[in-house]
Amino acid sequence: MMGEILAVVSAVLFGLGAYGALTSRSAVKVLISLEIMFNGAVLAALLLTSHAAPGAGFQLVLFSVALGSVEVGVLVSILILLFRRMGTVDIYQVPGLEVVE
Amino acid sequence: MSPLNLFTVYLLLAGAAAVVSAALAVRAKEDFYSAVLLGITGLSTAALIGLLGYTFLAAFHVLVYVGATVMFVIFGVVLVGRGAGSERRMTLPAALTSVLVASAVYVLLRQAIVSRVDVNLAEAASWLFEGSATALVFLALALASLVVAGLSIASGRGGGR
Repeated sequence: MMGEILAVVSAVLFGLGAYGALTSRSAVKVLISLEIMFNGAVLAALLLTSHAAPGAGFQLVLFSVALGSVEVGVLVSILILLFRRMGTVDIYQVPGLEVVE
Repeated sequence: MSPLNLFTVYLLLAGAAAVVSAALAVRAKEDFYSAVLLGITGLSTAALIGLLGYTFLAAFHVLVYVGATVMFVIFGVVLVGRGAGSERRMTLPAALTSVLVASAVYVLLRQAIVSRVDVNLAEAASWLFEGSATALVFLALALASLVVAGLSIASGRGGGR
């Protein structure tokens, strides 16, 4: 029962994050959607390792949460630079990413 | 069918909170509300981690992820200001793709739970943390240089236009 619930929550978080990352125009919203996917991945890793190797899952997730924090710091820095240069965080207005109608 | 005990109720409540807050974060029009709702998703995930038995990891997730990372995103949103609007493109293909992705993840996890696949990450972890201390030092240095690079990029000293 516990495994079922966690598997569903993990999969739904992953799917919701993918939907938000694919459809959002705002780079901040894309970053937030990717973080939602990260939460789903953390749950999945702990669920997968909770039976076989609980200590390994603990270390893996500890490591990945620390790594994710640094990654968010760099991404927010890039977003701030994007805003300073372009005046917007709309990814469709970034040179090279414009939509060709 | 087994009756619901208190543990399962807590699990269902935390799971529902995580899913609902994540859906609201994706659907919110303002980036600021999305960032706040991401914090609630992080807290719900920490609750689920704690219910799995990893209490230290749950505390770490609250302190480092919600306390630092989400706050960093919120301050970033405040610096950037209003978002790029709530207009969405390719919603139907994206919805289909995300449903397929979620189904694939669920099937993978369910298969792993049912067949009790031995991931054997213990060996990998011992190799990583005991046998590769030098590699971890280099990884820490790489992370530090990433932080410096991010700060350098944000300050606009990275060259370019």
